[in-house]
Amino acid sequence: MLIYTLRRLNLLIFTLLILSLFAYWLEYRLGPGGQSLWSGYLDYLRRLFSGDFGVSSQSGRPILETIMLHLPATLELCFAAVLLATVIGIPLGTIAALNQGRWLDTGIMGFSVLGSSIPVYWLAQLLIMAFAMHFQLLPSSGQLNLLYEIKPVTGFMLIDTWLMAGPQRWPAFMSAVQHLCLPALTLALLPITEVTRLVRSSMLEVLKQNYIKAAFSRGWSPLAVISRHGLRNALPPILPQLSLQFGAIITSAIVIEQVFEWPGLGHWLINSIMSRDYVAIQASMLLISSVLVVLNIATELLSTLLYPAKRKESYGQQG
Amino acid sequence: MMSTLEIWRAGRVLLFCSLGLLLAGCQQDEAQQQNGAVYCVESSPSSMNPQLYGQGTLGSSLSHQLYDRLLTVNPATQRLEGALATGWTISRDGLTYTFTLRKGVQFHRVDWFSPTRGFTAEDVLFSFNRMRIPSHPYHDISGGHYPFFDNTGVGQQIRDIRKLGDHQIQFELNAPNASFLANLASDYAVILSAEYAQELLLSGRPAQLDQLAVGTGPFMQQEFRSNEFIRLHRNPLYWDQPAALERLAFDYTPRPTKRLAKLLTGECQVMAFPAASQLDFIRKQSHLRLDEESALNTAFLALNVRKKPFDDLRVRQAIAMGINRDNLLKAVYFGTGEWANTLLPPISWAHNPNIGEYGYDPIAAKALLKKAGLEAGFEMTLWVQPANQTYNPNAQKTAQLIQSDLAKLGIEVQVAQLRGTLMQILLQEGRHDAVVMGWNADTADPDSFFRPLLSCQDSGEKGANYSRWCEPAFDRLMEQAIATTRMAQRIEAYQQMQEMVYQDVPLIPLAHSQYLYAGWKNLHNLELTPMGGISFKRAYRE
Repeated sequence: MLIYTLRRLNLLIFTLLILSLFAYWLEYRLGPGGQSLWSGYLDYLRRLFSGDFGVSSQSGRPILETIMLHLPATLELCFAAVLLATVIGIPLGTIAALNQGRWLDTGIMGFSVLGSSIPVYWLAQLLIMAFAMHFQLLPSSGQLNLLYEIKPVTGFMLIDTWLMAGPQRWPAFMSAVQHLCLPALTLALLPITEVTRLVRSSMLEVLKQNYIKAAFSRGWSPLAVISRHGLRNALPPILPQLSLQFGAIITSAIVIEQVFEWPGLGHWLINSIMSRDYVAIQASMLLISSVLVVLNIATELLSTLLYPAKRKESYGQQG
Repeated sequence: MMSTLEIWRAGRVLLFCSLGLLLAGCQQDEAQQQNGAVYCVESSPSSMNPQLYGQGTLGSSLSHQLYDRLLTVNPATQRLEGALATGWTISRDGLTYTFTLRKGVQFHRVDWFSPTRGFTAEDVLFSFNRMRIPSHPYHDISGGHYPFFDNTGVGQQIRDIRKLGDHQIQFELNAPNASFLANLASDYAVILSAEYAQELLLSGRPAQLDQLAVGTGPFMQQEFRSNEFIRLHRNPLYWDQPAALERLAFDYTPRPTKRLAKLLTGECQVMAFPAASQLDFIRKQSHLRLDEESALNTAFLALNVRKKPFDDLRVRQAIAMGINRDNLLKAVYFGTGEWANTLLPPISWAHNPNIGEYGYDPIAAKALLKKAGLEAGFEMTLWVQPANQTYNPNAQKTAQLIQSDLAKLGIEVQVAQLRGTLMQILLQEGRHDAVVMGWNADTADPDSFFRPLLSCQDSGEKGANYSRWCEPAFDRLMEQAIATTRMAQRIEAYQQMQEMVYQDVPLIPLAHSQYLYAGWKNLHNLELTPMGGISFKRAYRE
């Protein structure tokens, strides 16, 4: 296990180094020259480690400060999407498994295939047209009505509005929740379909087991069987696959932030590209890809720890 | 350690709670934000100081929210009135202007500055000297370019500014200039706080002056995120009646479809620049209102008179007669433009209503070309800016319409689209045949049309005279008109100048566009600034 961990960490460090080299190469080619490639690169690494990502050519503010301003919005959106995917995906998958072969199962699986093949930006527009413009139920963009005065404490709008004092607190919080609805739903669609399919197949496997049959024969209701035995045995094997969804979520978040003008990292990245702010492009590219790499490797490590069956694979690889 | 069962139970509770919250949240909040307004705008500024702005309606709006000027233009009468100056006198030779300043005006009290004194002559001195004197410690902060003051030459006009007392200040000019007062009332001539500037200089952060605003206007800056939003709140100590709206936000929304969507959902109450194709839709909405106002702008086709065959008057006249402007107004302006015969729009006080017009007449145009020996036609390129401007909602389409009109005269037009800055450079080098252009006046004074667009001085490498037309008689009239403050003489001179442009056709006026904005009907008393921005000073919601 230790060797496995070390190997993964090694991979992480090298990937990050390659990423930073690529980011520096961008700056080297596009920015004003002067230094040689290698001494410049070392200098660049030194600056990165001291947290100096440079200064945005657009706003004149330090990049790190701007990133910290936008990162919580992206995280908030991603967490909401993961939550929705779990809350909706697990029951759907379970229902499908319980009704295997019947119309409900076919319906849910049909929805799942449809959901995973719809382009998110198109769905986003469709949702805006329906819920924001036609029914006027939800706002079409942004993170909060701009008229609320929120003191940034954590940067997470839901938490900050909840923490504020005064009569504005509840409406501001509701405004934050409403603004979150459409983008989170859009972002969650793909993971929902994934979770549904994974839970269904895992649950089908579990339902064949004798202890489930025994539980049913004791006269337990399906709800009790599923909640006491079914899910507890069906979920752990798919946990690693579920956490892999994070990567997919972050990449589609960039597109979705653009459509919903969600003030997160993706929105900022696209704006920086539009205004040719190379320092910002470089920093955000580096950041987003590093987050993805770290997440991927962390998931792998975690799943190896949590689910021993996977460990055997890694031992196998060693031999 | 927690057992799996406990985790599962806790998870279930969390699950139901969040589901409940989502269901409760996913329905429109009926509580209206009664005391504020959001304005969806098309651009995002790079600073909070209008002295640094080029032309643009957003800058104009910000200027009127955050700052005051010495003088202001009354929107109803188009005449100058006192703002931070309560009165003024002009010496007989037209060289010395003495202003009495308003007492009891407070600068904004914000997180980044607490004023210890009110507005005085020091602030006026600082605000103008910063732009005018190259050795001023603030001159080169934020780039040292002051587009309006540099282009109109206001800096060179002023010989000296003297403080006569705390509330009296005197401007001395190099030569009489009738547009001087109008320049002081322009959106760019804002008054900043000298005390704030001094404080920043001492603490070594002078650049903050242009990012975190301190003015005297009806609203104070609260938060500015470049390319996202600007949030303002009411200045409770405003010297005039304080604003009724407590909060005001500018939401940066570059796409018109998105702006319209936000207007419909109530995410904004006012929207800048509705697209011409959206107008019918907006008019049909019972809760929305569309306001149109005549504006001081002109779209035109500039012909490079120093290039063949455009050096021939007959060719220029033929092109003027070959363009079907009725068609243009319908297809490009969707009824929000007016036919232009002269450079000056009809709302200008110097507009000449008796000027002749080059109506659409391809047969006469062909005859003229024949006389010029160009019966077989010729080839030309037509340049066009990719971005749409207030004066032209669709420059690209305008160029295409001109292309098809001129094809009927045998003139083969190639339309070339260039990027803004590159085009500017090539135009100033005079590489073009013709260009679809336009102009927004910076002040209500006619001089702000003629001097940059048609004077000899601006026909060279640096100016905006893209016709490269230089007519000494025209320049003499222009100088006469600016040297006197007697209205009758000025009007006479400007009308003659319009006649000269009509006769010599260095450029072909196409249309005057109207300023448009759409807003909620329950938001009252919005005022359009002369440059097409919106002032929320007296706005209120019901």
